[in-house]
Amino acid sequence: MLKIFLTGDNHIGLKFLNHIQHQFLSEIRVKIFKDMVEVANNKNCDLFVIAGDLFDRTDKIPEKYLNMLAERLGEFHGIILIIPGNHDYYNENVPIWRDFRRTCMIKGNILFLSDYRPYEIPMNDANKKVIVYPAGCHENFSSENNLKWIKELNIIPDEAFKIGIAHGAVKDFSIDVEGRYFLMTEEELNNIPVDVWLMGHTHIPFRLGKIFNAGTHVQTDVNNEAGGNYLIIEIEDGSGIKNIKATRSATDSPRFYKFEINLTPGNFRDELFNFVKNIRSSSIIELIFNGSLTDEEYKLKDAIIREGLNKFLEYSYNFDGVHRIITSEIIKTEFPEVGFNAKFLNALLNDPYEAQMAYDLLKALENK
Amino acid sequence: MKILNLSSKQFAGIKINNLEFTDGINLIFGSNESGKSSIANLILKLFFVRPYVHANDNFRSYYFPSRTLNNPAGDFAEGYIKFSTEMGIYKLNKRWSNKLNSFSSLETPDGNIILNYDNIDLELKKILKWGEAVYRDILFSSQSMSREALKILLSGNLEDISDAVFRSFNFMGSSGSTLPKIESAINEKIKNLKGKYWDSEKNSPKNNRNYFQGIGEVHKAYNKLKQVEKKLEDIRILEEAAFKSENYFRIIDNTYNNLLQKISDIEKYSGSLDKLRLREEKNKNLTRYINILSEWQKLEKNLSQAKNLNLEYMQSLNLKINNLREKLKNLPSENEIIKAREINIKMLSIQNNSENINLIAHIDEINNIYDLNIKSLKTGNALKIRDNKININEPVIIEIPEILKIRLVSSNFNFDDLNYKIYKSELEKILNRYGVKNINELENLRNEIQNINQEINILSAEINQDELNELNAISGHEVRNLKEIQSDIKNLISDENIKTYIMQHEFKLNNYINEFNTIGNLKNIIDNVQAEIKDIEQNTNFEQIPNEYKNYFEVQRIKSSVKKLRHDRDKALAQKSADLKILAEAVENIESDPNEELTKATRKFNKLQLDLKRWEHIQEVFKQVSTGILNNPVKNLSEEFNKNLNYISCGLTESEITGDNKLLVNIFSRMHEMNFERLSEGAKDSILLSFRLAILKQLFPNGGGTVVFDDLLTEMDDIRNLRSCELIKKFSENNQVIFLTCRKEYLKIFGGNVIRI
Repeated sequence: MLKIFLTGDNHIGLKFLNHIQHQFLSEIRVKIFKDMVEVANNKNCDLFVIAGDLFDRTDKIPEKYLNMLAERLGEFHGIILIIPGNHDYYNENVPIWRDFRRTCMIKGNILFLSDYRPYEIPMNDANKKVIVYPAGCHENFSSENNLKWIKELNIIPDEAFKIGIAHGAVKDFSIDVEGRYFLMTEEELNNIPVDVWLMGHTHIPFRLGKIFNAGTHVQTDVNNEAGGNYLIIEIEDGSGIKNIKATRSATDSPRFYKFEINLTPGNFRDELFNFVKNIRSSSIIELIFNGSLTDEEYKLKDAIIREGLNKFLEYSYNFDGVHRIITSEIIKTEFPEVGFNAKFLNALLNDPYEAQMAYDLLKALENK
Repeated sequence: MKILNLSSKQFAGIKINNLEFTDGINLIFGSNESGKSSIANLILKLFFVRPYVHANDNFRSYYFPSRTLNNPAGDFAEGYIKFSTEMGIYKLNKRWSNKLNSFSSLETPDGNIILNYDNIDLELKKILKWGEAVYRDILFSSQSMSREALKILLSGNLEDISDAVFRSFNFMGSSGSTLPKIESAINEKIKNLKGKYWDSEKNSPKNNRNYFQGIGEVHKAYNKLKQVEKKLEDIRILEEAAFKSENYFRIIDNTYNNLLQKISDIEKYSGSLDKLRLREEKNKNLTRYINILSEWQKLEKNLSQAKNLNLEYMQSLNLKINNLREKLKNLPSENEIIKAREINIKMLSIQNNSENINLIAHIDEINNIYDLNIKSLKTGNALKIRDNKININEPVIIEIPEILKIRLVSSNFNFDDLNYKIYKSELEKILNRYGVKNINELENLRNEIQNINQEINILSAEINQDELNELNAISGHEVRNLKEIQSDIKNLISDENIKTYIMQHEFKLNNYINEFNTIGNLKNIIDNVQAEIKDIEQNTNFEQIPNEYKNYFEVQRIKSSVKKLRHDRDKALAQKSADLKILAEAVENIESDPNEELTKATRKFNKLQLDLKRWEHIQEVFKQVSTGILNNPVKNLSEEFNKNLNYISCGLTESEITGDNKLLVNIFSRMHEMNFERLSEGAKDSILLSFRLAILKQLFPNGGGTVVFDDLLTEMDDIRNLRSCELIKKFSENNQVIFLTCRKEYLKIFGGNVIRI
């Protein structure tokens, strides 16, 4: 049996500059590798596969990240296989791979599969014959995928484990409207007689028969709703078609959330606390509020928010859609019934926002 | 609001022990300087003055106890008021002093106590609804304040009081917010949002231009949004360019690599390809040799035939020429013709000299039995008869055969002239020689001569001297007909010229001979080449060569295109690298996720647009509401004021209020307009009371108000007094009145809750 730990789209070097916790968010992407390698070791995985976009770009990745990563990967007991993705594509002039290879040189277990040729992997267990067919990226974009050379090989299934590793969009599972990201179809992948396809590029995990995509190991932004994941794939021995089992697990990594919450007056605190109670504290939360609050709630909204969201790694909120509730009773209490202000505010009650805006204006004038 | 309780430990030199107030009229009765006005002031100060009084504040001198003969001055003033509103009972306590000792507290209906003065102030503003000026000038106005207010009211300089008044009746209702101020504030909001160049209807900058100065928040948000959109678009364009150049590079790189592969293959087969080329060349030569061989034999045969025909042709031509020459011999020479012509001329000349004949012969026929001939004596030609006339200009013979012959000549004609005879004889000789009758016929022979000469020349041109010599050497052979020979020539060479034909063929033949010497040699060469080709074919496997490489020109084309393709590839690679670098730099310089930025910018823009629309609507509503109430209060106030004044003064004093948002009050006493100085004290009191009651009606149309009247009616006469009291009593039916007086009679007039101080 061959056991594979699959990850990809790690985007080490992502800067998160629009976040306060940008440094933490950048570093965690490297630090989590420690946990993943630990899991891979504990599960006795033979291979640790990174299916492309290990790095966010081809240049200017902080050296400390490279060192940290190499250190972590070096602790894996098996062989690490890396292919280049479209963000960290490979050619001889690309700095990142030069630098990374230099850093990893002393770690003898890391193989960078840059060429379009079969690689026979030197396994710890000499009885296991593993041949890998990499289809990584040598450029940023392409309307063609890199499967052609594999198709031309006329692979014959046998006892050897034949692993395809590719990076690019898969039709109907990845967003690639303009066909720029090495688009592959399920059919063409299935028609190549490898035992399994280990894919990268789509940040959301999925499985299609023998095609596996682990998604990213740490969520990159709020727009892809899946968190960080990894897959452990087991390929059983046999000639011809081999049985495959896979398990998906979440990494213990920060999540990004964005929610819209509709408020009813008098319930702000409870609604907020109930909403967030089950969300992990290692999350980045963005809340967009709509609805109305009582006067008191409105005054204390920032404090309530702070209280409710302080536990999170980072939070932001938007109150543009919230207004203070202004009722005719409030108007009556605060303004002479026969006064202009009261009449004015009452005439605006159809639009609670307008009523509040006018109310605030009148109060501000009073306080001058 | 209703005041329930008032007390003070010390305020303006008085102590107040728990004054309790009720609904309706509360009469506070005390002598002069018993502190009545202080009560009014205390109420006002409790509601509106902060407790901290700094050292120089006049408040100290007005309201802190001054020193007595034996004791120092007090260092604080204090007061307590309990009042009720719809919400419940409030208790307000204040101690005015320095920072350390000042104090304030407000107990709310639910029992909460507020100590922070700012919070107390906020709460009180809500409760009181109107600002300090209203209470100061209208509701809790002390005697001195009232006088002052009246002065201002009548002075025309009404900023302060009109503010208070406006606030007090329906223009706004609380301090700080006059109509103009509200309107101005709304306008300011709109201006801040809209700026100078925003088109609210189109939701875009005016004239679709870019503006950056004098723009409002909406416009700024719009600019920001456009900026972000542009940023995204720029990135998209850069990505597009990078994608295209990558694609292009890949295509060209593939082509280049394929080409290199082909060249590599070609190199692999180079030996065989050389052999193939060699075989092709030898085959080509062989074909040529075989063609030459075939042609050579034919060439010799045709050439021989052509030469023979040519010779025959020459012979025939020669014969023809000779015949023509013979013919010429039987024709006169040019000299002879000239000579004959000269003789003839001479003869004519002789004849002409002896002739002077110019006659016309009219012939009258007698009968037609006999022929009449008239001939020229010179020429023998008959003269023509026309219309039975003949012109006779020469010697003639007139003959009727067998009947008559007349020679008609000039008298000096001499037939026997010897020269004439000689000439005639010579001429006749010539003519006879060539068988012609006259000089004309002789001259006609000239054409024939010319033609024959021409033909001889043409024919002679076809024969050159060598041929001529040759022909002369073989003369004697029988020569075929020229046409027959020409026909044979045509059959051999078609319309070609035979000499040219012979020349070309000789040239070709010579070339072959030069190249190959003999036909036998050529045959040997052919055999050798065939053998060589066979040898190549036996020793080389041409089948293994891919078809596309077998074409020599195609191979050459492949090889020659490498350089250009390499250049194109390098260029494409440079372009790709440049585009990727630009893209990477652009992306690297982005601090935040552009899509996220776009979301935020869009949200902000939409919100501000919405805010603008809302403010514009608020402005509309403001105009509607303010227009609705603007006129009525003035009108109502005016009517009420005038009614009160009229009643109190028994019609002697009238008022007039004008102005929209300024209050202009004019007073007429017995129809005469009055100013403040001219009014009597009683009139002043009447006016003030009338005015206050009119405003109070606006402030509390349904009752529930509290007002303090401080010795208000002191200067009025009895009737005005009574009438004023009636109005006050009427007012107190639904409102709380605190009436401060030193006059006993009011105890009876008003009754109510009496508090003696």
